[in-house]
Amino acid sequence: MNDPTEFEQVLRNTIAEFCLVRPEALEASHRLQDDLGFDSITSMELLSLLSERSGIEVSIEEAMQITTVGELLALGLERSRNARAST
Amino acid sequence: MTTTVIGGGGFLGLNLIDALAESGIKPLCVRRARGNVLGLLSRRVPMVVGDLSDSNVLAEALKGTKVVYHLAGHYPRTSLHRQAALDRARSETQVVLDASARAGVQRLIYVSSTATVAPAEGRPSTEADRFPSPPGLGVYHDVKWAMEDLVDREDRLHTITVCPSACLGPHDLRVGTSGLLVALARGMDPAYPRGLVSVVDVRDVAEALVRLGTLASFPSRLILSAKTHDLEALMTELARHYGVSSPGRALSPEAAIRFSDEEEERVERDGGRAALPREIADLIIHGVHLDGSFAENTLGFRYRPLTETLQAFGAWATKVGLIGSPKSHREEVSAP
Repeated sequence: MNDPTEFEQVLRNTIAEFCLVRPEALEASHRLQDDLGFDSITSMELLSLLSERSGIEVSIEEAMQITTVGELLALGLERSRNARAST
Repeated sequence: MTTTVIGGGGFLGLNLIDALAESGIKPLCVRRARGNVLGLLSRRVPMVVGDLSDSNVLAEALKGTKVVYHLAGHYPRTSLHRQAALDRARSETQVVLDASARAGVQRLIYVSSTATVAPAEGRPSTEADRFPSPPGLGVYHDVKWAMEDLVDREDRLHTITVCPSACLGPHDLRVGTSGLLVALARGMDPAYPRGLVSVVDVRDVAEALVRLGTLASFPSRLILSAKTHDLEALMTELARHYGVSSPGRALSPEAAIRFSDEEEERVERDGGRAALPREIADLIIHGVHLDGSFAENTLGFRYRPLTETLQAFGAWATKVGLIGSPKSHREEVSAP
């Protein structure tokens, strides 16, 4: 997936599946654990599912550093841009 | 595809995948529909979705497999729901056994726990020491005993039960057995009980599993444990290793159980993570001296010294941000 808009939608929908929040209600400042109720295990499951659905590679090391929706979005958008640049 | 790993995305699983790859074996991984498979994705491991509640689906996934590694035995996250934990453990184990038999699997290597190893009179415990009935030392012990009992009774395929002690090393994503280590390295003062802890490098366990999958003749039960430590003494040595203050004194068994029960009830109510999970308290309080030498002699390997394990764990944990760099590695923990 190398369309940033598409990635953002997949991200919103995937998070919404986990924490029963409306996709459009998600904000970049939302913290995965403190605001959305993820724990360390479900955070990794989220990243894993997102990686599978979007085709964007996320290493375990990167996944463990991500704490907010905005950080996750930034990582995905950066990967999308890189993918577009290389095609 | 002749080798399949059930539960390959976790701590031991990723180390096993790496060890298999070093031996030129690329396994198939059976995974849950939703779970953390980032480590498998980055290793380009072929995956199939399987369900430990449905033997038909699992049998289909195992078709053509000769060797199955079952690393996904139920691990109850709390000890608050004894019957539910036992029911799930038995049911999922039976599904794996039925599916393996139906798929024509030749060898099932099941990873159990040293919780099933009984104390021995006047000597360290060996593979021969097994509780004849549920140990009654806590939910975790009984769950592990129940699953191992089912595997032992299986007569449709060859089974090997592996009992690793507390695994330490890279890829402990859930910070399970290394929880005390991480807390200590962060300069916290973790609560821990008085008792014994046996440890083994997760990479040694992975290598042993690879060998068990390829040996022509194999034992039916194997303990994998490098050394048994008095936990209080070990914590003091580890504090020196990480350059932090020595931890407080160990809790009495009664105080540790009371604390861990309160912690699990708090987590059930408010979420989060127990500072001392009940199964960890039970394992340490009822810890026994283990003799892991049969595995070395049978499989032809030597356990890594604890210093090497700590270095590998430290490098990984620092990389993923679990702990900072140790203040000093000059004072080494005494090797086993």
